Amino acid sequence: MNKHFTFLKGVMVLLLAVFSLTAVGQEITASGTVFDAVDGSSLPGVTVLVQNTTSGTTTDIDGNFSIDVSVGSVLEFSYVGYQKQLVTVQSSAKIIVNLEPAVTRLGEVVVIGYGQVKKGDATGSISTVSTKEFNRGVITSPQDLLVGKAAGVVITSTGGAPGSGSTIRIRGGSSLNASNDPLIIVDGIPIDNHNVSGSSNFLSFVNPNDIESFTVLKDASATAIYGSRASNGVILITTKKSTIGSPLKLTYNGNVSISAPTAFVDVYSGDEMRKIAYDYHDIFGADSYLKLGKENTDWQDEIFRTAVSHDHNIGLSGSYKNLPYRVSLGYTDQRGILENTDMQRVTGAVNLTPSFFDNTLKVNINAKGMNTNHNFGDNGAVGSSINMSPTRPVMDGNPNSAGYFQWSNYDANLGTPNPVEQALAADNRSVVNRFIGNIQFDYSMPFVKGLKANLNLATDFTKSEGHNNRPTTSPSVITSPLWGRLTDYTGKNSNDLLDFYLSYTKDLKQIQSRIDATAGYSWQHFKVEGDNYTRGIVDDAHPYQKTDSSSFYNENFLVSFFGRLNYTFMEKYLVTFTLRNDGSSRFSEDNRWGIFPAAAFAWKINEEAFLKDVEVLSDLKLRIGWGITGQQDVGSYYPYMARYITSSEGSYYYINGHYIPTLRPSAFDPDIKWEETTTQNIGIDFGFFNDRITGSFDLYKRVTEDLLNEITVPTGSNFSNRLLTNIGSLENKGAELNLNLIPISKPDMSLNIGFNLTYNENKITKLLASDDPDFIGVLYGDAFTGQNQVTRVGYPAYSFFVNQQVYDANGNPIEGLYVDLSGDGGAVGGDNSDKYIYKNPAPDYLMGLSFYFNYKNFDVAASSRISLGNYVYNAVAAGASIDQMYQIGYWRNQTKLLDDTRFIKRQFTSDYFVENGSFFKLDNFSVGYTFNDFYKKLNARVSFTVQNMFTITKYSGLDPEVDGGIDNNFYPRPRTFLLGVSIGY
Amino acid sequence: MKKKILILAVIFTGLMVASCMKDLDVKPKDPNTILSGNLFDDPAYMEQVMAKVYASFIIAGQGANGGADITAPDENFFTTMRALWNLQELPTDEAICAWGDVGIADLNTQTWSSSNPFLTAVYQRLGLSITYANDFIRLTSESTEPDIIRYRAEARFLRALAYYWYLDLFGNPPFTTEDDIVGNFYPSQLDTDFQTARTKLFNYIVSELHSIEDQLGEPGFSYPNADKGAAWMLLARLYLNAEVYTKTAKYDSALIYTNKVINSGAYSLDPDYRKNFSADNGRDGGNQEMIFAWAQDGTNIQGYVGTTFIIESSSDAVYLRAEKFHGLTSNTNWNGNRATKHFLNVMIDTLATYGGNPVPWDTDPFFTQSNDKRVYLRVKQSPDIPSASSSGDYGIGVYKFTARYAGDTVTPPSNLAYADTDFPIFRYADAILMRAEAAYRTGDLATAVADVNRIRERAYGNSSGNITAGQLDEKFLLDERGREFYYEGQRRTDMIRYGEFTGGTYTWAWKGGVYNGTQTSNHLNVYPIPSEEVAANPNIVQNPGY
Repeated sequence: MNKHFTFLKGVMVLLLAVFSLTAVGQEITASGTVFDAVDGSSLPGVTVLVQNTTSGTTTDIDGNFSIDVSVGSVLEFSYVGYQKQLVTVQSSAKIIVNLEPAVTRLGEVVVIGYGQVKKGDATGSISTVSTKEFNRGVITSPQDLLVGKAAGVVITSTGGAPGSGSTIRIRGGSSLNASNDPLIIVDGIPIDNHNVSGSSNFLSFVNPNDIESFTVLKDASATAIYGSRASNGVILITTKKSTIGSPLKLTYNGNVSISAPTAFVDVYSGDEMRKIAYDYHDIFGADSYLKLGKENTDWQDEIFRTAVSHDHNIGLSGSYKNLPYRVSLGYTDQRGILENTDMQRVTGAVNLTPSFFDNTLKVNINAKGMNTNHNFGDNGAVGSSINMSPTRPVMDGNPNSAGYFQWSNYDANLGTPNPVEQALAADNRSVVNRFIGNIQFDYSMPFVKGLKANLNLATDFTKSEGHNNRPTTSPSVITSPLWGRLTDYTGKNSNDLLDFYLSYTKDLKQIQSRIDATAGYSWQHFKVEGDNYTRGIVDDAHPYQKTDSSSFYNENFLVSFFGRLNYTFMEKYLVTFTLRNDGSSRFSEDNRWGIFPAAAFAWKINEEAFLKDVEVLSDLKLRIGWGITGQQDVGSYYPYMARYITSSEGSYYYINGHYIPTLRPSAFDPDIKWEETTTQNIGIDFGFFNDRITGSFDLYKRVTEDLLNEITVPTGSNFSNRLLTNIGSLENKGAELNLNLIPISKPDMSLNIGFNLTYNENKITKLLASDDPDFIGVLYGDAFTGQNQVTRVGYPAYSFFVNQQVYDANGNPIEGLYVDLSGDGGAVGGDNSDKYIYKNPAPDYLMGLSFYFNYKNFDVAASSRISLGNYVYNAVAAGASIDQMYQIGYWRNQTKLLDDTRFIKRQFTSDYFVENGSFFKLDNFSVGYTFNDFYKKLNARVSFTVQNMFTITKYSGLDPEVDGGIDNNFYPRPRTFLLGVSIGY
Repeated sequence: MKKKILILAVIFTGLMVASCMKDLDVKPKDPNTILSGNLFDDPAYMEQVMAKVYASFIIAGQGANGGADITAPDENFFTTMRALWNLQELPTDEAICAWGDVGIADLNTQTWSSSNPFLTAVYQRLGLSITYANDFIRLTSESTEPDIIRYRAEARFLRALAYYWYLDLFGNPPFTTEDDIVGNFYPSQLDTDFQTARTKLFNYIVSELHSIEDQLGEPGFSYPNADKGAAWMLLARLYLNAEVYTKTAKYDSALIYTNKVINSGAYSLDPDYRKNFSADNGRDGGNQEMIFAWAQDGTNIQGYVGTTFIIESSSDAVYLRAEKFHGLTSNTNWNGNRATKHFLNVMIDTLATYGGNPVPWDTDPFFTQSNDKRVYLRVKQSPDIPSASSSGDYGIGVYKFTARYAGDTVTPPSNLAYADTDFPIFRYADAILMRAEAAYRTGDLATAVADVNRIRERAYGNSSGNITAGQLDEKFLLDERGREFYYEGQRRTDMIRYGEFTGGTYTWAWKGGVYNGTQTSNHLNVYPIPSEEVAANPNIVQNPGY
C-alpha cells in the first residue's frame, strides 16, 4: 500500500518536472517535519517563512508543516533557542529539518563520552574550544589549534621539524613511566597515539580546517566512561558536518608562510677558539696547534635556512537530496628550517550523514585519508654544527668525502662529522598512507519512545615505508664497520573498533525529573608491526653486507562494558553515575579486569528562586565529582608473560661447532597491573552581565596508585637490572580558573578576552613495597653525565638532584667545590650523599592569555602563554668545559655559556646549571581583513600572522620550554610569518 | 516481526561478546619471541638458551632484535668482560686509562666509590649470568638426554665461574640458585658477616665444581665451551687463592688440580706465545694451549667488547696504529689504555738487558734488545705519564692482542672492526705457573723451578732465560705471572694474593693518586657493593670499609 502511494507520487513528480521545464516557478506544496538535532524530538511551533515573500506557517504539535511555494524558493526555519536554517525547495518530496540549538554558551551542545549534552547540563569538568576560539596561523596539525586555549591543557611541540608532533598534558601527568598522553577520540574513534615508523605526528591525518570543536574532559566524572585509558584526560575532536537541506557551500583556505630560526646556540668563533687554544695551551699540549685551522666558519648558519611553505584546503558541503555531505581536500608543502628537511601531505575527507526511515535511523559515514611524504634529513647535523670546530672550512676538496672537509682517520673516526655534509647527504625519506573510516548508526527504537541504539564500527589503518641511506662518502655512520649505509623499514599499524550502546531518555513530568541512561559494550584491537633492514658497503668488491635486521609484531585488545545514568531533578539538580568494566590483554588473567566508577553532582544555583531574579547573574553552577580511571599503556605489550627473545645476526655464540642464535629470557613481572587514579573535583561555573563575563573555577586532587615505574631491581631477582612494575603512588593537587570577558559587544565592534590559569602541585607519596624513610629514590641520568634527577617520596617527580655549588667573593662558581652536605668528607662532587633536591621541571603556574578584537571588517587576535616556576637543567652548558675542546686529536667547539664558568672539567652535578625557566611566550599574533561580498556573494578574508613572535625569559639556553626538564636541545624553534587567504560563502 | 529481529540481535550480540573476550588471551605472534611454555617444542631452543648463558659474559645483548641485556649508558662499555678487565687491570701497574669517562679515573688511582659505573655493571651482569644459568638449570632439571645433561653441567660451570668472579671482586654477593623463582623478591647474601659469607661462597663453588666434574666433556673436547679442563683450572685457581678468600691456605689441593690438567695430555705450550692472542687463537695453526675462552668472531659474535676492546683501546693513531699493527681499519685508535713505566721494569729485566745503561727508549722504542718474546710493548711519547689525566700518548703502549693471524702481517682480518680473537680465560701456561707457585708455597722448590723454566724456555725460545732455585722467590713468581699474563685480566687477583695490591711495598705510577704511587688502604682489596644495589635491596649489607 505504501509502495503504491509512493509510486504514484513519483509519477506525479515526474509529470510536474516535465511541466516545470516550460513553466518556471511552478507552484507545489512543500511539506515535512522539523526535529531537534540533539535529542531527535519533533519541534512544534517552529516558524517557517518563504524568503522574499510574506507567506509562512508554523509546525504543528508533531512538528509537521505544509506550505505552498514555487519550486526553487528558499524556506527559512527559525525557533527560539535554535539556529536558523535555510532549505531550498526542489520538489514536493518530504523535507526533514534538524534544528541545532542556538550557540548560547549554555545551550551549546557539547560532545561527551558516548553522547552529547547541553553545556548547561554537564556535571563534569569540561572545556570546549570551537572554531571561533581556535588559534590562527600556520596550522599543520590539530594540536596547534588548542595551544593555550584550555585551562589545564599544556601542549609542547616536540621540535621545529616540519610535521613534528606535540606532547599534550592535561592537569599534569599522573604517571611516571606509563604514558601520560590523554586519550584522543576523533569522531568517536579512539586514536592509538603510537606513531608508525616514518611518521612523526599521529594527529596529522586530521586537517585542522575540518575540525569543528575540541572537548577536553578533565575530571574523573567526565572521563570515567573511558575507564582504563582515561587517567590522563580525554580530548574529543569533532569534525564539521553538513545538515539536510543546507545549500551548497564552498570554502577555500590557503596560506603561504616563511619560517626562520629564532636564535642559534651561541658558540665560539674561529678567532675566539684560537685564543682559547693559546690561553690554555698547557692543558691541550703542544701538538694541538697542528689541528687548528685558519677559518671562521659559522656552522649553524650553514645548515639552517629560511623556509617557505604553503598550505591549501578546499571544503565543499551541502546536501544532495536528503544526503548531507561534506568533502574536503587539503595539500600542504612544508619546508623545514634545517637544510634537506621537508614534508608534503595530501589529506582528503568525506562525511555523509544521511537519515532514513523518517529520521529514525541516522547514519554517519566518515572516511579520511592521508598521504604524506616526509624528508627527515638528519637532525644530528644540528648537534654537529655546535661541536664542529669553527676554524675549519666547509669544503676543502677532500676526494674521499665529495669535497667536504672531514677530520681524517687519525682521529679514530670519532671526530665531529662535517655538519653540512651530514645534513645534505642524508637520504632519509618515508611515505605514510593512512585511512580512517567509520560508520555509525543511531537508531531510535520505534516501539519504545526515548530508546536509541547506537553502533559504531571503525578502522584506522596506517602503512608506511621508508629508507635512511647515506653514501659511501659519509663518515657520520660511525657505529657501523661498513662504509655508507642503506636502511629500509616498513611499518603497519591497525586499530579496529566496535562500539555498541543503548541510550534511553525519559521525562518524568510527575516528579519533575528527567533520566538519561546509557549502557554499552566496546571492543578494540590494536596491532603494530614493522621491520628494519640495514646494509652497508665493505668496499667496491663487497657491495652489500647485512648488518642488522629486526622485525616486530605486537598487538593488544581492550574489551569493556560501560553504563551511565544522568538524573535531573527540577531542572536544577543533576546527578550522574558512571561505571565501566575494562579488560586488557596486557595483564594476566588475575589482573586483567578493572572497575572504574564515577559519580558527580551539579546544582544550577542560578535557577533557584532566590537567585532567579538577580539580573547580574546569568549563570552559577556548582559541580562536585569523584571517579576512578586507569592507565594501561605501559609500553610493553606482553609485560606479564615469561618469554624468550632470539638474537639477531652478529650476536650469536659458538656451541658444539656451530654459530647459533641465543634465546634470552626477558625481564617480566607476572603481577603487573594498571595504574589507578582517583580524582576528586569541585568546581563552579559562573556568568555575569548576560554572559559578558563567564568562567569557571575548579579545585582538584588526583591520586595515582600502583604507579608504574621502571626501577632498578635487586640483582638476582629478575632477568635484567631494571623492571617495569607497580611500585608507588603519586598525587597531583591543583586549581584551575577559566575566564572569558566580552567588554565590547556591538554589531561593528567586539572585544573578547580569554584567560586561563592552572596551578598544579605534584608529589610522590609512596615508592617501595616497604616504607624506608632513607630510600634515596629512583635516580635518573647516566654514569657519563651524572645522575641529576630523582623521584623521591615527599617531593615532586623528577626533581633535580644536584650538588650545592660554592661561589667565590665575586659570585663566580669555584670549579669542583661543593658544600659537603653529608659531612663525611671524601669526594663531594657526584657523590649522591652530598646532593640535595633543588627545584623541579614542572611549572607552578601556567597561564594562557588571548584576545580577539574586531572593528567592522578588521580583526586582530593574539594568544600567549605564561609559565612560572618551571626549572630547567641546562645540559648544554653543563656539558661544556675547556678540556672538552681538544679531543683525541681534533678540536671541538663549545657553547659560549662556558665563559661564565670557564670550568676546565665538566661539572655535571652542580646546581649552578639548574636555571629558572619561567617564560612569557607570544605564540600567535594575527591581523585580518574581511571583504564582504567581494565577488558574487563570496566573502574573503586576508590575514597576516606571526607565530612564535617572542619569548621573554631569563633562561640562558635556547628555549625554556623543555619537556622533562633536561635541556639538551640545539634545534631552534622557528618563527613563522604567514599570509593567509580564506574564501567562502 | 520486530520482536524477532530484537531477539536475534540480542543472541548475536551475546555470541560476539563471548568470542571477543577470548581475544584478551593474546599470545605474541612475533616469530622472534618464544613463550616459555613453547621452549620444548623444538630441541634447538634449549641449545639457544644455553648459548645465551655463555654469550652474556662477552657481548652486550640480542643485537637489533632485543637490545642490550641491562640498561646502561653505553651497551658495549658495560659488558661483563670489558668492565671486569677494567676492574682487574686499571688499578694495577699494568694499565692506566686516559679517557675522561666518569668512573675510569677513579679506577686508575684506586679512589673508587660505591657509585662507580663499572663495578655496578660487572655486579649486575655477573648476577644476570647467574640468573640465566639458574633458569636453564631449572628448565632442564628433568631431562635425561645426554647432550642436555652435559649442557646442564656446563651451565653450572658458568654459574660457578660467575660466582668465582663475585668472590674475587666483591666477596659477598646476593646468593641465588635454581630454587629461586624469578619475580619480585629480595635475594639475600650468604651471611651478614663478610668473612663467613665469603668462606661459605668459596665452599659452594668448590662443591658445585666437584659435583659436575664427571658430567662435563673431556679436556679439549669442546673448546671454547666448558669441559673438564676448564673445571680443573677453576678449581686450581680457587685453591691457589683460598687463603685470600677463606683465610685458610689450600695449596695442596691446587696441586692436585693443576696436575690433572697437565697430566691429561690434552694441552701443550705452543712455541709461538702470540698465537694465543691472535685471530682464532692460532688454533688453525695447531695451538693446543687454550683451555677455556669466550668466543669472539668478526661476523657472528660482534661488539666493541672483549679482545676487540683491548686491541682498540690500546691503539692510537701515531704510535700503535690499529690499521698497521692489527689490520682493523674501522672505528679504530681509541687511545685509552697503556702500561706504566713501573710495569716496564717488571716486563724487561733492564739490568740484564741493558747492562746498567739507561733504557734506550727513544732509539729502541720496541725493546728489540730484550730476548723475551712476550714483550709486545712500545714506548709512546715518553714512558712517564705526567698527570693522572694525561692523554694516551704518554706511557707504554701494549699491542699483545691482535686481530691478525700470528706471524702474518699481511692478511687482513675477516672483519675490519671486530676481532676473531677469543678472550682467553684459562690457558695451559697458567696451569704450569699455578703448579709452580703451589709447589713453591708447599716447599717443593724443584718442581717450582722446573715449571717456571718451562715457561721461560717458551718465552725466550731457548734456555737463556732459565733461572736457578736461588733466584726463585715470591717477587719473581709475581713478576713472572705479570710477564706471562699481562692484559689478560688477572693482575689484580695475583697482586692481592701477594699482598702488593694496596698496602705492600711496591708502588707504581698514580697508585693512590700520587705520581710514583703510594700505599693505599687494605679495605680496597675488595670492591664495594654498588650503591644502586644497596638502595634497591634492603637485605644487602655493604662491604667493610665502605
